[in-house]
Amino acid sequence: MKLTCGDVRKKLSEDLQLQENETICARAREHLSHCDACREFRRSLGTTIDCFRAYDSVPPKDLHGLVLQRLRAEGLTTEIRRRDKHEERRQNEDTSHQVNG
Amino acid sequence: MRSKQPEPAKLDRTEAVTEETLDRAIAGDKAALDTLLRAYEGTVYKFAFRVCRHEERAKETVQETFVNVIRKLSQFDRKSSFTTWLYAVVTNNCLMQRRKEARGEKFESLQLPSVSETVDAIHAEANTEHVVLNAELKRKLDEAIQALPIEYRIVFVLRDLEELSTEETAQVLKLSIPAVKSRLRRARVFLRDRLGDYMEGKV
Repeated sequence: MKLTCGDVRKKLSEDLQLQENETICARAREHLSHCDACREFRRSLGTTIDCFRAYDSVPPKDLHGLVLQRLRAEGLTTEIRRRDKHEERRQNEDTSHQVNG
Repeated sequence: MRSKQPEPAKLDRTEAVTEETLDRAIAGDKAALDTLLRAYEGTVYKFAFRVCRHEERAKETVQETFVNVIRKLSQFDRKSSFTTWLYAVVTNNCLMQRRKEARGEKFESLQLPSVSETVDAIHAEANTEHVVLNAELKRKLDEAIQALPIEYRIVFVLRDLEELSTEETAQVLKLSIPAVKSRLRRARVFLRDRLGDYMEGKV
């Protein structure tokens, strides 16, 4: 059964490279070989995605400092220190058990 | 320009930190947590920027995300990869920030240009044709993606920009695979239609 332009465009907008479901993809490829409008649809869909990929923002240099500052403000670095001390105590206990044992 | 389709079912993506660092971070090791922050803060920032298209909001989202990561790290059960779990946390923060904005709690000056737009405008005044075109295209891209409902926008960003597989996206958003596919289809067509006329003439 042949696919319509609507079927092919629906398929392309889910799977632009036509990699999933070989039977439908083969039919879609066959349709694309003679349908200029669907080829144009595929091209413009690919261009749209590529434009968004190309438009990025570089993380600011102060990002790490901002995150740490926020963690300090939330009191979370204190929690980390407390967990560090707990871990240190646990390791010391393990070591003394090993020495005594 | 050709688009590269994400590989299907790539559930074992390489992590930016070792299992050992992750274990130490979960146990509360300060140095390991610092390594974890440094390894992932760029990823989180880029994702947040791609969703909200605003540098200040993206920075705020990164901070909120790592507050939640540190608080909830001991709950990370390794049923998914750490990256997938992190995407789930940052996605929730993007959604929460969107709700805050809707209530007008923060970033009231939504009409103000972001830093990159201001820089572009300065360059545009220098009359460099290439940069003027980029600034115009960026504005069109911003307008198009901001017009896309956030639920669709997040699927588009995860699948097409972060290049997560359909399965990973479904895992992050706790959606079915058909729901991810349907949202992606609608998002792609929406954006293509919004940018269609511009693409014809300029790209």
